[in-house]
Amino acid sequence: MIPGILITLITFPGVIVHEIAHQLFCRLMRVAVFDVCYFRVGNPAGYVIHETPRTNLQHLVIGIGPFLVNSIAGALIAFPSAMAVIKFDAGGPLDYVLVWLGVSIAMHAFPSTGDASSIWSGLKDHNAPIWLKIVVAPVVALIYIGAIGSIFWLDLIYGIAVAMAGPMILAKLLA
Amino acid sequence: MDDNDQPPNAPTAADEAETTGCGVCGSDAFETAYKTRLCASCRTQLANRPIPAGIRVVVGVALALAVIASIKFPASLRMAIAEERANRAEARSDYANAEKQLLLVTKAYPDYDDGLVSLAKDSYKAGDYEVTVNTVNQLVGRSLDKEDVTEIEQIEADLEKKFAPEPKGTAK
Repeated sequence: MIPGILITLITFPGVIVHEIAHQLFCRLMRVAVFDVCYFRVGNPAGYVIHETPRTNLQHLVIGIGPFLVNSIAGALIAFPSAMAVIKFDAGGPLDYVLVWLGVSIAMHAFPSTGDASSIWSGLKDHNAPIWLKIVVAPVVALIYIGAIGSIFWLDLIYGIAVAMAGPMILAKLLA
Repeated sequence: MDDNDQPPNAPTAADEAETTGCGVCGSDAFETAYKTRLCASCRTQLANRPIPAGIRVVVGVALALAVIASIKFPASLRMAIAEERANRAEARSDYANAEKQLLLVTKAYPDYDDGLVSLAKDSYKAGDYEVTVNTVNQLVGRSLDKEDVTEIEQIEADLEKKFAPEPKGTAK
């Protein structure tokens, strides 16, 4: 079995983008950030230490924001090269670099279990309305599934799917 | 990755409890709505913590590479569209159209084995044997799926049967 640390090293751009996204959403939500580690060899590979958000919305946006940012950024970066490399087996070195970059970024889209517990405890602390808990509970469950799924490469599968899906859907729509 | 896993130097609740004013500048005018005691200006400053120049450069380089690569994108998108059209034509047994689309794809990507295999099959079914023969020749020496090899060999055998010289009758 390939150690997780090796996977993290190979896909380090995804960790950096994930932390940048957390930081940017803290900025957007005006939540104080005390420390940021964009990448390190260790567990966690990156982190953003911020104050406890004031509202449920802040909790949600900061926790889930990187999922959207990493997914979209991964797809956009891999977009131009994915087709040449994966479909037509005709990519140059730059194409391979971009596919690696795109897949790496997308595969780190999943929020960590730390993010999930932070979102959930935030909702509990703020006496969130029951409907919000009902809406968010499956999201938190999905995050946990995603985190557990990384053991059997769910994050990599997701990364490849995100990198490939955009161009393929576009081709199908335009054909 | 595990962003909220606390590293050893994370501020603790005890640290926060010891602070009487803003945790950074000591001002009494801290924002009471938050758990962390910070005044508005310190909170804004901490929220706007700058991203290090090195990280911004790395992100910029990645984006620049993506822009450069996107120059080639329209061409590969056109070919993906052509292949999709070929698949659809093949599904409705319009082999001539499928062949036409696959000729575009394999001209742009001559090393695309799956495209060549499809072209060999579709051109054969469309009755364009010249293209079939040329395509089969292009496939010689390439590693293909067992199933594809069987089909291509079958096409070769059929073509040989079709175009082999008539055996001369022997006079008795």
